[in-house]
Amino acid sequence: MSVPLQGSIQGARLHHGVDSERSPARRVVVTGLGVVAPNGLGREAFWDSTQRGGSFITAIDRFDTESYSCRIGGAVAGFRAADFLPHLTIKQTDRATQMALAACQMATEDAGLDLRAEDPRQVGMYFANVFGGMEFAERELYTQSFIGSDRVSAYQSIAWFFAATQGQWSISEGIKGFGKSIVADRAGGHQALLLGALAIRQGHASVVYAGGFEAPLVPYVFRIHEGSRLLSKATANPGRSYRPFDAGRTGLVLAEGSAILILEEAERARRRGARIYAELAGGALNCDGRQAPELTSRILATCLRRAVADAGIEPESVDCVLPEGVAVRDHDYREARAIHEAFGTARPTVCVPKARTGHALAASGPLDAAWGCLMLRHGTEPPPVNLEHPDGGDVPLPVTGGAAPGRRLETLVCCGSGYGGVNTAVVLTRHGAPQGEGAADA
Amino acid sequence: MRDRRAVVTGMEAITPAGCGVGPLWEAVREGRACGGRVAAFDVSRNASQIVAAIPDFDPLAAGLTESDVARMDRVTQLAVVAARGAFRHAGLRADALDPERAGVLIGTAVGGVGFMEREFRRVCVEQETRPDLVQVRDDLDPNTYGGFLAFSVSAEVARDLELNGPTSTMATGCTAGLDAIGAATALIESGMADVVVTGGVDAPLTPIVLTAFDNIKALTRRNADPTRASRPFDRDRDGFLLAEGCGLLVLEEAGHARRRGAEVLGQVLGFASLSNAYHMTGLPADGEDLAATLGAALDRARLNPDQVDYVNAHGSSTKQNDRNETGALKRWLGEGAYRVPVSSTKSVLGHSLGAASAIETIVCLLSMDDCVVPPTANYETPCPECDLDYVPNAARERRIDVAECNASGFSGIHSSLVLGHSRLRAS
Repeated sequence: MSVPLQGSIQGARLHHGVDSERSPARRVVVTGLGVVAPNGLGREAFWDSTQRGGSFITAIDRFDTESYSCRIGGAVAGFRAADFLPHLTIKQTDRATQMALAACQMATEDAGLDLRAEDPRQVGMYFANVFGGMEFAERELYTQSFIGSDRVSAYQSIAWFFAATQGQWSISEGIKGFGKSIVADRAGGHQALLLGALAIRQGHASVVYAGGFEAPLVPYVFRIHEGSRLLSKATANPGRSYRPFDAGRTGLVLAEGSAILILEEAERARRRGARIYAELAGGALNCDGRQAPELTSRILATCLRRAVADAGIEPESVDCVLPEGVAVRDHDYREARAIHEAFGTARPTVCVPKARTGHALAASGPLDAAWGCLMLRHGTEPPPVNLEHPDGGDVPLPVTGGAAPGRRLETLVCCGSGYGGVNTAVVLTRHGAPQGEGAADA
Repeated sequence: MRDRRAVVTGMEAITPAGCGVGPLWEAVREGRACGGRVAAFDVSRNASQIVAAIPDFDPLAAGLTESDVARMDRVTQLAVVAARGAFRHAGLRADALDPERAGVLIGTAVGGVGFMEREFRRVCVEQETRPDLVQVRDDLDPNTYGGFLAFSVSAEVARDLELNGPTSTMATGCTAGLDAIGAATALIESGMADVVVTGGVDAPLTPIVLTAFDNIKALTRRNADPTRASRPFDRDRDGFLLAEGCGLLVLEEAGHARRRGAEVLGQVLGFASLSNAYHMTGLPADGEDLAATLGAALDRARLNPDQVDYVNAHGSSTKQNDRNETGALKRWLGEGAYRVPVSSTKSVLGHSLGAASAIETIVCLLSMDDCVVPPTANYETPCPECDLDYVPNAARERRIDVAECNASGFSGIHSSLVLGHSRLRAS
């Protein structure tokens, strides 16, 4: 039975602007990149080192790794929080949050955003992380366990939890828009990009800081990561140890870092004359559910196909995939098969820039997206690292490097998976903006 | 965008009032407050020593296996059991559903912290040399990764119900339940899913979580009187009563629900979330940004403020929140703020962090169905700065077509969800 409300919902007063802001035609572009990565702080250093090749993975020296089976990682050696943040913020935050706040600052500058001139309620955030601020939390758990509850820091309640970073960024800049923080294991960063873009498409915000941040190179949480049974046990040559899709793979190598992308409603980005790196044209997320855990390719292939369809693109026109790249055989084979199933004879190249740095968990999707944006902008793939004997199992694995001869990069897909069988794919396309600027410094 | 709408077709709750929606509604409608002393761990060095715990959750009796229990933190056990109940309530069966169009998006503030903390105490060793770094023995339970991971609350539900659609965990702290429902609505409206199991869950009754809130004086210290400790809007409120709980909904695209003949329990009419950019834990008295959030949610519902029949407040029983929320309601509704009934479910159940607002969403649906505004329990002494109609201590009959549910949390997040009775016609 259907009863209209007194005054009826249909008759309710329409409020200003609601309809136009919800137009399904709203598109989303990337206009700023902020990067804190093992291979560089800031977009320029990050891209320069990417083009040179070489690895930034080293033996972990932040704690004693003697009792650990994995002893290598991608640390951001050059990061000093004090270069970016006031003392009080540093006291209240975990290293992962500090790296994210630095990345947010760099992204703002890169996008040429003047936050004081923005409507604060139109600027949002969408962030991802795996285990929260565990460097901070480990210290306080230690205090509680061996010293006493009454000595636990008052900042534990705001430093560890997942929304710490969005709160700190919101407060430091006076941003009041739609802000969300999610956990979806290693696919969380991809999801933050996708759901951040959805928030813009659905009119919750016009600008969204979207990305991930991780600082897993601390004793207890690193031990927890060992429990995933994915980590590399190689010790001899750290820089040669993370080898996704290479026959000599040794396992996953973790990295710390953060990447934050400025997502912006396309029309307003154009109006303000913003530099547009790429369009975040679409994406998809799904989950293996009870299918053979983490090893099924069919559902990942579905995710990739849906992502491309969401972007309104034919599978054949995907030029390149930036994969998850766990560097564990079954995982690599599953991913290679899924790419093959999704794109078939079109055979996009597979490009793994993170082989240089290690896998930054929920920051890896945003880092891949930052790489993808720069690849689209410069029209070139970075040279492969640690990929001498490509091995995708029983499917072909096209790998190239440098400028792809005879074709321009137009469409990239960033792919992430994680514990519990989660998959997420994000599609980036070269934006049809005037090409002069991009060509000039390519 | 509104050609695809989200409706609620199933729900389940596990709360300090007991297992199930029945015990929840009975306790909330009657204003029978929960609470007791912490028994599970030593709180002798804590100022706050009381919580609201679920009295009767037995994971094995509820249908989980020994292996499930070994693998999952309590938070995930609650989610899986409640999801089965909500799914059953919705009359959904995996074989009558396109699993790739059905996802899971559950909110939690602290996820499996209890699992992580228990293992920490077992494998981390006291040391003299570098107290800034813990030393970790190498016999960690290999289940700790999935046990701690906040994503497990959603991933294990997807696995258990054999769903393959969009799956994520919302982790925005004390607004996580509403934020998850908002995000699930977005997935349905955008066409990314037809069915989403959503809501919130938290099992935060652990030493580090209690201590973290206690040490910033957020928790009530009325240790001698646990069932009178959570007293939202009362003059003598002194902090929130930490609680555990789970509230899950099956959200479904309206046409999908209609085609399969499902009973509609309520409609999601609008969701909005903003931040106050004021302080990580503190709140300004004026409630300006919360008022803007309430207005934005109603804008998205295309409703006017005078069409709201009931406000389920965040009402956490902290000095600051209840003042902020009262200020926001006045700013938003003007004189009308004195006419709309406002009550706090936390007066009965305490504050279960990311679960609370999802449980309160269920309370809104029940109140619409039952034509009853549930009361604010323990409201004894009026507070000069909180002077609205908080429905003190006794339920009130009223036809409710539209209810608004609020949540505020650390990091300055405000979220608001507008729910409509199933009899309302969509615009």
